[in-house]
Amino acid sequence: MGSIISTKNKINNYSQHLKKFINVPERLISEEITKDLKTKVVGNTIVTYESTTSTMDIAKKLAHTGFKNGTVIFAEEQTHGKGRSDHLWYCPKHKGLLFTLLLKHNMHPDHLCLLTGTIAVSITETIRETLHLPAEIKWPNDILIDGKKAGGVLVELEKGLKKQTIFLIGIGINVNVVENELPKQTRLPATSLAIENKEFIDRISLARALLQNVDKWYTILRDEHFRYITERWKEFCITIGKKLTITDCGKEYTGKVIDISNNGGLMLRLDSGQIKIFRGEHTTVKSISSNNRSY
Amino acid sequence: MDIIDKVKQLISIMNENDLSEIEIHEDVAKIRIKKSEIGYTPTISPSAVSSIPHPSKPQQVLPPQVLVKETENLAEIVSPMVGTFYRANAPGADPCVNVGDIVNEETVVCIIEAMKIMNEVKAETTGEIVDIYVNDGEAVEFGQSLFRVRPSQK
Repeated sequence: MGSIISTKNKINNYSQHLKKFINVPERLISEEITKDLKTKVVGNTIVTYESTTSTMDIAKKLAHTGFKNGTVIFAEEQTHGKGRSDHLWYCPKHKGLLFTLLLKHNMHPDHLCLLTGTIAVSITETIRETLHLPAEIKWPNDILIDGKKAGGVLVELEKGLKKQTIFLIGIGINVNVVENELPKQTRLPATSLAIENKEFIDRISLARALLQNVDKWYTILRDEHFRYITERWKEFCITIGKKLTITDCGKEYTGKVIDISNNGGLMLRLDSGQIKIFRGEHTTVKSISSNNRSY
Repeated sequence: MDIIDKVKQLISIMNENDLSEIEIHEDVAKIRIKKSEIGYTPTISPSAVSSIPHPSKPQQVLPPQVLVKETENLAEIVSPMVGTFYRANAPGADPCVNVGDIVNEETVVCIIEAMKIMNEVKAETTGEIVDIYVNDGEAVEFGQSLFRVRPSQK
């Protein structure tokens, strides 16, 4: 695998670099990503789009066809990139890794929640191991570096042919975005891998490394080695040790997070001293106490 | 005027004018009463535009003379997973369906979210939505009834 860091592009001089970057945009090329890709399932087919509403939209249509399991759809630009709700995901053209992975998998409902964690672990581990940046997970799906959001995961379920369950795993990572291109007024402060790395990054090598890591962790999930996933999730999860307020079934609870449960839920020591486990499926993090680092 | 009086008044209007069905929309609720051979089928649901949970369940406010037609062969759409029920694709957007809407097998009726896993639930039946059991944002269990559907006549 080639170097992930694109050494010719130093980020120190923004204006000079921007000019160079706009004039010679580095493109994601399917064949380049596929070359030397060592995976069992993920990336069996790779398709890249120059611009689309959302790779999720394409994936949904594809899910109803005889697509190859592990198909990945990249887009250089999404005009309606999805986050849940009002948090639309925006990333300038040619500067992110925005893709949807389609997986056929009949998963037991109890383990469904580990899927988000599995993918979050894959992204975080890839950033740590290839770029040596201190990436962390904000439970359950945000990828942060130094408290700023660099990426995230969103999964949709679709019934494909013969009612087969298809997971559409949407991943968005800010890779070569510079400071003045970051979206303003976001829920969390934003950043990019290049800003944190102080160098631009070869997106093709990063994409390849990421797909390989997703493949590795997905295999662990498929083989039901759930403890490996929760242990790694805990290791990367910045939410553990934080005092926060969560909403669960319409009620609010405030306490300190002491653990992640085996199926991805949160274990809190409430202010009353009581220890309570919240199922991930019904839990929303409402706010982080002000005596924590803001993130 | 409370909701019981309103339903009584609507039934009077139906009888006086020989109507078989009546539906009114107000700020916080929608009331629909349909006369059939054995009585009335009332449906009271939160307004499509209101995100405020309805303060009471329809069954608790029905006047005694109104009969819920339980004998009718109605279908139910149930939750395929544990999660949080959303009536719309995004906050502020119109609900996927409202009471009275006609759905087919492919109609998306709601979203169930569990830890950022979004599941669009399809009706998987053809007919008219006659009841929505769950409020927007509420937690639901696997197999829990979400909607009641009157199947289309074949």
